[in-house]
Amino acid sequence: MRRSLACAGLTALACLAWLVAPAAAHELRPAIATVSFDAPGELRLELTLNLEALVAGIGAGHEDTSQSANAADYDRLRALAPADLQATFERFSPQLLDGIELTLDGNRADLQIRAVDIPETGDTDLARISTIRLTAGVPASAETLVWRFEPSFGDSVIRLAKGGAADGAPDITYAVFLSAGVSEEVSIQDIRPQSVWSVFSNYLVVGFEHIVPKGLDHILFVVGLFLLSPRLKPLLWQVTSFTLAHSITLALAMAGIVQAPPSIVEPLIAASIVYVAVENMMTDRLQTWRPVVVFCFGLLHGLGFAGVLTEIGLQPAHFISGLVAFNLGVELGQLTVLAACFLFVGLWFRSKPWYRARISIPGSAAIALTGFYWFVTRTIW
Amino acid sequence: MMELPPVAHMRLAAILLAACVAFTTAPAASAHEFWIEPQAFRIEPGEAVRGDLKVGQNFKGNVFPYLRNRFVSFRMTGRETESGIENYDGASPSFDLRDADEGLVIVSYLSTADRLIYRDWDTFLAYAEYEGLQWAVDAHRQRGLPERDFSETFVRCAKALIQVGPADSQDRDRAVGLPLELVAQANPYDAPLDRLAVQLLWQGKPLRDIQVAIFQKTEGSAVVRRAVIRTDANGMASVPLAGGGRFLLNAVRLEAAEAGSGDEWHSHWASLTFAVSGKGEP
Repeated sequence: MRRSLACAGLTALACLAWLVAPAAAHELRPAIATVSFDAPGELRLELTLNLEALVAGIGAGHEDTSQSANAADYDRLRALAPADLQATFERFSPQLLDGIELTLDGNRADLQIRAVDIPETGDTDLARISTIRLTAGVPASAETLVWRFEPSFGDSVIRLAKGGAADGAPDITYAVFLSAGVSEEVSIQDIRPQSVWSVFSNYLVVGFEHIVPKGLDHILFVVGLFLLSPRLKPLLWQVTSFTLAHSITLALAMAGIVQAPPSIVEPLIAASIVYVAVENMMTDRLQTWRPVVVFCFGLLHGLGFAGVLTEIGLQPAHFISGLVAFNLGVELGQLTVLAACFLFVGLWFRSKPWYRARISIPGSAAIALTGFYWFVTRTIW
Repeated sequence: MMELPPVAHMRLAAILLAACVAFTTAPAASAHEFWIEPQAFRIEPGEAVRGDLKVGQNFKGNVFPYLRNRFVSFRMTGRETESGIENYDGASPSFDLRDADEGLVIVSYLSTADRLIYRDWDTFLAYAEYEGLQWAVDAHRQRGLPERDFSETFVRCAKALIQVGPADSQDRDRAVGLPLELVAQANPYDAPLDRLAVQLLWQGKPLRDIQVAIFQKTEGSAVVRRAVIRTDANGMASVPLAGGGRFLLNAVRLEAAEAGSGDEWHSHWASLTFAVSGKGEP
């Protein structure tokens, strides 16, 4: 038996043969069209395909280049050096531009060929996959896109890519295979870079909403500041130091310079509410330490805001504008709370002799109790 | 059929091999193998199981991108888990998976049916010759079919074996449910092997007397060697591994297309890819 195995092995080795290169016959694959909007006002289309098959008109209805009547043409093109194939392609390019269509909100984009990347001739047993790069202007208002690929060119895949990936790999947000030639209407809003103004207004709203209506703890703290005294000067002192302080820690935390876990920050924010409310019940004068204490609490609240903003995320490209807008939104939220306090309470009752006994002290007591409740639950959690 | 003792199996395989290994000529234009080509066949736990689908000839192929409408199933089967491979259309590498089980991982792909048209008789003759389907030439004539402009639909059943972490002889390739499927009978990543027995299954049952083409690309060499053997009565074929490197096994089962389908022939293509360390290499 051993002999027969050895014999078989030798026969096998003897019979293994070098292979002669077969005639080229390349299975067709769909063209892959990737659209991205990296630069403002511009669209990029990257078309990755078998350029020889396109130019030779192998097209649809063939699985394989050798099956087409134009197979000889294909084989000749496949053997060309990149520069020669590019010259042939340049004569063909008007037909390509005719056959591909990107429609933005119903208007056909004016595509221009910017570059053609053709690999070296290499091994003609393999198909050569080239890349055609095109661009077109995009109106700022464009919202949807429709792709059409001349059916006689063959199948295609249309993909939308979010640009700016650091490792060069596209972040594909949409990809659909098409044999019918025309895609559905696709929204491009998610992949277009945001304008500075839209980033700014988005973060402004986020910052505002974090105070009104979402930030009941911050609202109570600000109301606590308001209730100390019916006069304007103590309020200005407190609000200024609070704002200054939380702006500092928000920026430092977002830049990654300071860090504090929510498990510590959140109970301390609750404790700060208890403190200002209890002090309100003991005095209506702006003690010298009060702005200092409020400043320290402001530092804490800033760390809390940073926690929220981190969850939402700040793109590196929009770090400063997003941060400023968010902070401004927070200030507007605070001012809204103070304006409401003044309109509904201060305006009518601040000069009444019973303002402190009937409004400031009971109001502060309620705030202190709520703050204490939060402190307990946030500590236990 | 009669149960053969293991030694008789090996002898039979050897005789079949000796009888069937032949010089091979350039493949006919239409015959395209389809296989799964991992970037690495052996990886460490936690590394990505990543690779491409390839279509071509003689173990040289173009990337076939991930296209949802071109497959019935595309799966990763590990020691404990099995999952469908998700990606976006047009993606290459077509699989890039970070959550593979440790052990032997089987990536499998079952295509939808595609159609090929034979414009001339010579193409079909060359195909039958190359794939060891000479019977089909007579059958074609006996069925009174046209000798040009006839068609074949084909389904591709590809499999790759990838070793994640240390190899274990308990980790075996197994049938994952492809209609035509090559199943390795030992783990090629375990102890060094001189030969690897593979079994060809059709609908889960051994398929006899089918040609298995062996393509071998040894490390550091661009040359591809091709040899052919046939399966024995139990669907078994013994693949010589001398020299090591990357292996592609390919088997074709051809049958008459269903009456009324509009096609003349219908085929299934099974492929299996794996790698073996060469002698003297670590």
